[in-house]
Amino acid sequence: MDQIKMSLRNLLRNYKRTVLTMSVLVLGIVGMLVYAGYIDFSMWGFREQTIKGGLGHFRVYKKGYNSRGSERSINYLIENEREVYRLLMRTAHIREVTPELEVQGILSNGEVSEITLGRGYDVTSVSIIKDSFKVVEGEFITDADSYEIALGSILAEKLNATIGSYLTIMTTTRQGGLNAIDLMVVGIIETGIDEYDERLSIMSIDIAQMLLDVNAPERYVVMLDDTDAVDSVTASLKDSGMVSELGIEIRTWSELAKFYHQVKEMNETYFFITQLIILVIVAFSIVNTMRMVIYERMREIGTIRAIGMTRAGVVRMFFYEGVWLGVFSFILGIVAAVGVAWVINFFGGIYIAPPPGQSTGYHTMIRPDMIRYFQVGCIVMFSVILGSLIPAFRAARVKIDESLRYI
Amino acid sequence: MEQNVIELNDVFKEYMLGKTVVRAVNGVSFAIAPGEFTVIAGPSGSGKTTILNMVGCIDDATSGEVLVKGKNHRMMSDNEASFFRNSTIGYVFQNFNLIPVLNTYENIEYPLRIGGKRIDKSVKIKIMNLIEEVGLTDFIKHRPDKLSGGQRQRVAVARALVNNPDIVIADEPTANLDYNTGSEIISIMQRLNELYGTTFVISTHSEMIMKRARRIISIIDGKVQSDIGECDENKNQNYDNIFNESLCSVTGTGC
Repeated sequence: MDQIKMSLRNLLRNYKRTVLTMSVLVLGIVGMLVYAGYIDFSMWGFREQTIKGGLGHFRVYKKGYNSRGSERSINYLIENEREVYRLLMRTAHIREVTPELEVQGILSNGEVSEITLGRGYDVTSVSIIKDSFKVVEGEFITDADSYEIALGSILAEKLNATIGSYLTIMTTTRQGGLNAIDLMVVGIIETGIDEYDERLSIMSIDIAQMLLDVNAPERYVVMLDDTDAVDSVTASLKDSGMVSELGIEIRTWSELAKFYHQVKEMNETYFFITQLIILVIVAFSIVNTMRMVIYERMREIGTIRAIGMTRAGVVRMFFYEGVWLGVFSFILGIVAAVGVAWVINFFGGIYIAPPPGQSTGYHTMIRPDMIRYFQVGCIVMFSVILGSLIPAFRAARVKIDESLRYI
Repeated sequence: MEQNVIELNDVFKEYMLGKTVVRAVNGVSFAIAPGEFTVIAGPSGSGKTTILNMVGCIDDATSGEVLVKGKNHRMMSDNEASFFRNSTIGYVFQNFNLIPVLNTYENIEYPLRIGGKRIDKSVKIKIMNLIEEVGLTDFIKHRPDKLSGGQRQRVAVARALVNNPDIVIADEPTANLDYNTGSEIISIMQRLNELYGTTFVISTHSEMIMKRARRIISIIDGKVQSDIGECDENKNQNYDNIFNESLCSVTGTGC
């Protein structure tokens, strides 16, 4: 009978207590995994929303664009757009490439004027862009040559604009001259973020270029068929040497989405605190159980010490019991967590009210990343082993004759 | 001349009971030769168990010298003491102290496992022989809760002998057994003592055991009251007289 088997038998000796202790552990695991599943799904959703919300999987700029400081972005247009476009379109995993040009100007209905952050896209290939907002009235621009504009809902409200209204957009050209064009409102859109809806306007890139008196895009927004391929695609582009040859630079969504990382970090902090609380509860529960177990078996400890077991051997015995407890609880905890997640997902997930600054809520599912299982497993094993070892060390140090006298 | 397996030289043992110092052993000296079947007799609280604990290397003397096979437990590290106990000493306890999750065979085998010995075929045969010696062949797979008190103590005796120890320490081994069962256990111990030449040191206040001992060291109030052997030349009396004298001092009955 080796010590590992013996520790398993010891665990089953008082199975009711073992089951009770395992219940605490299983509850802790379910709590951690469900919470992790909620965070992971939310962050996955947020990531995809960030990417599809206009950022793309990565963006291509003229070299120096991102380190230009206060210099106008209009001075960093991709003049060799055809070569860049061709390079991108022949790269594996790239699904869509859209040129983009930003227009900062003033929109006016003749009575009221509002600052706008306009964006000019290739409206014939804007499926990427369309995912980033909802058309609440009218339709999206479909004709590249048409003098049409879509407005953020709050901006439209401020300008008393409705479908069919005409607005004048004024801006400064690349050379610094004033330029203005009349555009017809064809759609009213919502991004879900009030700050955007208050300023955003969408137009065809041809109109944007006309306004700024340029004939090149400011950047290319690139969509891939798989978010996980971002690193490999950008690395292959950089390694090919074409990036430096064409005088361009690449920024991935992850490099650009600072807010995403801040939110992720905040969520990870919450998760860490939750884990810590659960870890402490679990560890205390285990310490309590193991203390009872050890005091009940004090005479047994004295006996095995008397017949030659070392202190380390005693500690090892309880360590194995802790490991068994942790392993069984972890397996059961995963099964229970998967079950709970399935039930929640089956009923449509958890509704999350609109976060501050956003106008729409959403349903979140419980889908933990695979790494979470490993993470939770480590936490559970750590807390169980810690909870087992603390009383075991004390028990191993009790004098043998005192242990043998223990009633 | 063969070296004594156990030697106690002017041994004192004191305990703190709250703020009071209690002297459990008060200047005890004796020696036990290899293969002896010795009883340490005395009433409850006389210091028998304390002496056995020191002889068994699970407790230290406050002063004086306890030598087991010429080694002083106080000079050993905890690990050294553990290995020494495992290889040199076997224990039989009043409450049997078997491991509840192990069956008869596993309980007997356990000290070998603790000592890291390889359990090969010859070892298994030896364990089976021991089980046969103590009459538990039909109870190999039984766990302690399925055994009677006498059977449990037989397992404990076999467990104490499995490592071929030089000494077996038995602390009141029959105290929780009825007369006949206790007598059987002592018979088994005597037989194994003769068979393997193992030194047995048994503490008791049982008349039955004292009558069957070849040497009785009587302890009263932590001191050796008498040390009566089978061939005690100084006293030049027959064994029955010596035993009666000892018995009177131990039991306190008028002689």
